[in-house]
Amino acid sequence: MRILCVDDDEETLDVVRRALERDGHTVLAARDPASALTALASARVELVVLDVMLEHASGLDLCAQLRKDGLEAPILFLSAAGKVDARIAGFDAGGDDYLAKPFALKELVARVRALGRRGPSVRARVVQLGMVRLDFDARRATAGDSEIPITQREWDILRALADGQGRVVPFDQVLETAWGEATESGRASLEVIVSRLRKKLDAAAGRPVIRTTRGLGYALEPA
Amino acid sequence: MTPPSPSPSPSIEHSVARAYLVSIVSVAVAIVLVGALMATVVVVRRDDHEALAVAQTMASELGPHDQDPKLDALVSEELDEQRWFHRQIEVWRGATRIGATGPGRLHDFGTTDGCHSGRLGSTLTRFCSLGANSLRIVIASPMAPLFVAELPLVLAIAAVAALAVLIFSLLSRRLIRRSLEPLRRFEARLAALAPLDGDVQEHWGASEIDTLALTFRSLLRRIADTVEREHRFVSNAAHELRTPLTRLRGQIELALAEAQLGPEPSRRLTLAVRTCEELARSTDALLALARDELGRRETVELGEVAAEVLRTLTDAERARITLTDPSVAAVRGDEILLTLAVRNLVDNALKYSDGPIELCIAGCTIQVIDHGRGIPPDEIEDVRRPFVRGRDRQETRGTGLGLALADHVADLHGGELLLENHQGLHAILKLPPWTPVAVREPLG
Repeated sequence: MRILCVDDDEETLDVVRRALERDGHTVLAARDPASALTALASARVELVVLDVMLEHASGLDLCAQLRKDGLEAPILFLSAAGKVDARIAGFDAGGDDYLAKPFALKELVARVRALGRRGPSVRARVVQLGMVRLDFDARRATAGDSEIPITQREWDILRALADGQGRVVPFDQVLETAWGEATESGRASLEVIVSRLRKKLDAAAGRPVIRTTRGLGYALEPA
Repeated sequence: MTPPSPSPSPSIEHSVARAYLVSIVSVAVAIVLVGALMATVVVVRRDDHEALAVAQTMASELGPHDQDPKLDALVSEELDEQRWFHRQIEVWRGATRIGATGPGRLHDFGTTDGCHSGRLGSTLTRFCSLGANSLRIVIASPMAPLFVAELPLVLAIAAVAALAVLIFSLLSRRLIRRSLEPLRRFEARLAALAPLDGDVQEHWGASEIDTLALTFRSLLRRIADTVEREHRFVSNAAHELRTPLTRLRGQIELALAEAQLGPEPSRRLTLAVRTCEELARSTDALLALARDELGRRETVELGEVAAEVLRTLTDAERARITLTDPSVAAVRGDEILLTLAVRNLVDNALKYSDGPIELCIAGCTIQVIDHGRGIPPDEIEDVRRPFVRGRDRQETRGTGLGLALADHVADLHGGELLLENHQGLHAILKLPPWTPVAVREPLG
């Protein structure tokens, strides 16, 4: 994959570049929005890794601008502002995932891989499953007037399944989207969470909403 | 251009002075009324004396031999005019009563001559006789104080006085209330004030409170500035710490992956990575402690919190922990903060006890139970404060932030952290249950 990395800290940029290159990607590096735009104009990139706080500019603004200019490649935010704040703004600006600094390189590589598999960022914002309405922008699930409690992790899983658009999404792909890595313990947690999601959604939707294909993965059953 | 300033508010001091004046007037009116009552008594008593003097003069003028019925009638008429309230007057010539308003009391005085007065039953009586056949006059006034004798009158005067005092005091109370009303409104405004972004208007209808409001405004601004500066400082500090930590961790991980290292250097570098993680967690904890409100209220399953905590532990640490997790236990809050809090409680249990640790989720409560020494009862409240560590824990590694952080996170969520000793420490994080928020966006 050709990846554009934008970070104002040279050493971080170097480490990220090296880690991604080791995973087989081609990396374009930029330290400010201007050189990021130049790089984007010169080559087609399939993914952007973007620092939220650049030295004299906001990564969030750059992200919003890139989206306005029609960039469809997934954007992964890196944030040193603390996990709590990073997530709040990142999705609003049009980002697809975020990673709080300091991160494990393994996790960075896994998330980049997961986002790359997901492809260009054309995503359903609202999915209707029988009576249940999933609003991914507001991260809000409703059945008629009543809200259904859905956690962030459950949203990540629903997001991965919704991106499959009815096709089976492999377990490992769901895991990498939701946890950034596919491990044995993650697989067990995924099973627990999917069974809980079914409990929450099936009754409200009036029918099973998540199909399991044994040994392969999960799929959403849209209306 | 300065905006046209509204007319200055009246001061409370003036209003209170006005109310004070009204009270003085009311007391004065009452004094005048009571004074009038007293004066009446004096006048009546003096009048008794005058009446007697008139009678005496007449008696001496008429003498014992002027037995003219016409004159007697005149005397009687004259004395009749001296009747007053309950005063009784009798006029006798010898044994004949020639004028009387009372029941006849002369016999009480026998044939004594001269003038004297005395008490007779319930009356104060004055008697004057100038010889057996001359005129004898008796004036009897009631002994009872005038206010009993003239109860309706006295009551009327008293009622008017009381009414006057009542009306004036109501008036002054209203005046005081009205002048203190701005103060009450000001107090209500302060009570409803948002802690950091609230503002107080400038005009309240009382000059003292207008001044107070101005002082408050500048105080609020100074507090907001300070908090803002502090937030900025913490956020900058976090950024400044995390950037080099990212480099450090990245470089170590790259070195681990790329250099052909022996087992011992690898082990050391892996430990260095763990230290980086610890440092990052302390940074997160400091940042969380500096927050004074919850940024997000997302749905959080406590089971996921526990799973996330377990995921970040080493295998050896994880082996000590037993998790009891019902499938659904949702709360509303910030998952990252809750994870940080539980992680700190688990870290505590791992550090300060040796045996197995239970992580139990029941309802909206998550408990971390160890079998260590617990916390001495006299320290149990202190250890919630940042950087305070138990006396017998000084030799163990730690920052003293863990319990303070868990306590603060519980607070932010409207829950509480209970610390109980039962053959080990039970750290119980109690949170309010999940509730739906009102649907705002249009349906369909």
